[in-house]
Amino acid sequence: MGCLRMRILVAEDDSSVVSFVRKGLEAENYAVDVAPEGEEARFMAEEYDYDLVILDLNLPGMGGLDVLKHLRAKKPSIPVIVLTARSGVEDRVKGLDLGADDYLTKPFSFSELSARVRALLRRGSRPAESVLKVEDLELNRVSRTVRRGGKKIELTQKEFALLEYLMRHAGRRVTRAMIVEHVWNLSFDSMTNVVDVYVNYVRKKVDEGFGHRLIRTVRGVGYQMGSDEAEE
Amino acid sequence: MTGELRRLQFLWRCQLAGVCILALSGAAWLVPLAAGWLSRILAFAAITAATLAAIQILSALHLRRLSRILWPGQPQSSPVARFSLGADLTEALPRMMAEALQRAERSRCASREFLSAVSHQLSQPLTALRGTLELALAREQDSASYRRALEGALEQADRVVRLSRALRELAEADQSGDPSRVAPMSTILAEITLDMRPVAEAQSCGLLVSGPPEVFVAANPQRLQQAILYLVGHAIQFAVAGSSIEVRLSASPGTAILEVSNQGDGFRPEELDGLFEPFRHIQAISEEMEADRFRLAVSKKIIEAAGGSVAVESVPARGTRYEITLPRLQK
Repeated sequence: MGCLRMRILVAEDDSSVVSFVRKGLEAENYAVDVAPEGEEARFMAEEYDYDLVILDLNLPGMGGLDVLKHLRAKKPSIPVIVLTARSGVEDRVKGLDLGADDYLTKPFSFSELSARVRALLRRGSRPAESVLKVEDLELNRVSRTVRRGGKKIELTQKEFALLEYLMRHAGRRVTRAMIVEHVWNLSFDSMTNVVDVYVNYVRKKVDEGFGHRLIRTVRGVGYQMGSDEAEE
Repeated sequence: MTGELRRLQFLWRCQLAGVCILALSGAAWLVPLAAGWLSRILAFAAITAATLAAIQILSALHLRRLSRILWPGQPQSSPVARFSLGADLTEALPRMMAEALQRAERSRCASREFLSAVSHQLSQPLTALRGTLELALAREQDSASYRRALEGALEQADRVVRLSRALRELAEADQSGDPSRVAPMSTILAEITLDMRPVAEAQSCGLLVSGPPEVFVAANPQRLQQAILYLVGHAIQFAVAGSSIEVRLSASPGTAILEVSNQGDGFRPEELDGLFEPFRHIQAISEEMEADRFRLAVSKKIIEAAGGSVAVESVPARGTRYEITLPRLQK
């Protein structure tokens, strides 16, 4: 990556989870610190400069939700991914209400975590633009119109939301679970076939007849809009 | 049965009203004639009447609490009547306790069976996982063989992950009842149409949704949407190409009925039996079928947690019809 490595704090007490998360993130060139206790996690997150915090809700000592509350009061904009053993939609909404940026249920795969880390690290560096562009594809969030190579493309409301999500994360992989959670605001595993069907619909409208395909399927992970983002 | 308890309550109220009227009319008749000793009788009669009324109120409240403890799932407006009118409470109570114990025993048996089925399901991928890793470590191999072994292990681990997620979803569905929330059926059906029509079309099927507006039920809207989504998804999965899946809402005072029907192979009676019960099958079924049953079980639990029920009827080679009944909220 660039000359400055991104720093991530992993607040998690289970050593086997910590081990694979640390190995995986370090292999992707992040600098990783670990805090196995709530109080320590709060102190480290508040005192040191991290680009992102991965926070387990079930920490010994001060619980994860309390750590999150304290942290939000001091650093409102630091991206936080919450890890939990509960999967209910209500729990997810509660976690997000308390200021978590994303919510991942155990057991999770490393590729799922990695995709979410990338999505959040990138969001921090770019403000929400009203016009999203990927090559010759243009999406206007205000007039809610989509054009490719100047040609207007008609999309339904859901298709528009899906394309917007893919374009906001252009150059990065997004998993099916991320799409279900952020576009549908649901968290059901079995919604993933709905996602595949919808992506195919959007693909037909956006890619067919334009020669160059913009929406790629990433095997075993999900989808990616456009080619890999240039490393900074 | 509910009618009988209502009648019992009504009688109580009548007695209560009677005692009050008696006390008041006694007072009205006697006050003009009142002398010193008469007013003492009057005071005595009033205190007796008040005590009787208090006893009546307390016993009515107690009975209500008792019925709530014994039948916690019952809505408050229709307390379950297990007493026949005039039957002695001392006779009815042991019977009620015995019934409650029987129910508890049945549910204990069911959870024992379920636990043993879960452990059986877990043991399969875990055996494969352990075996694969053990063999890979048993002797030196080339890196391609190690890679194959690891890929196999990952596949088995994914099976365990899927199973654990499905079990968690099932456990959470059990606790999803929320009578304080209002679920608008038309909004839920509109969302489902939007989500599932493309899925049906991808299978060359149509999705027809109809129903009156302004039907509300007391349930967590997101959970109810999930339950209906799963049922509709299941109906699409088993529909024959070229047919249409019908989702029809109808409403009567107090009840909302949602019918989901498809045309397809249908189910034989023995298949229908365990349709909403994951693991309850004689022959081995595919993992996909197992996942489908999990979804149906989640659906059923969510609907039951909202005070509703699901019924299913199927004709082999014709199709299947699911009927969800939910208590409707009056606006």
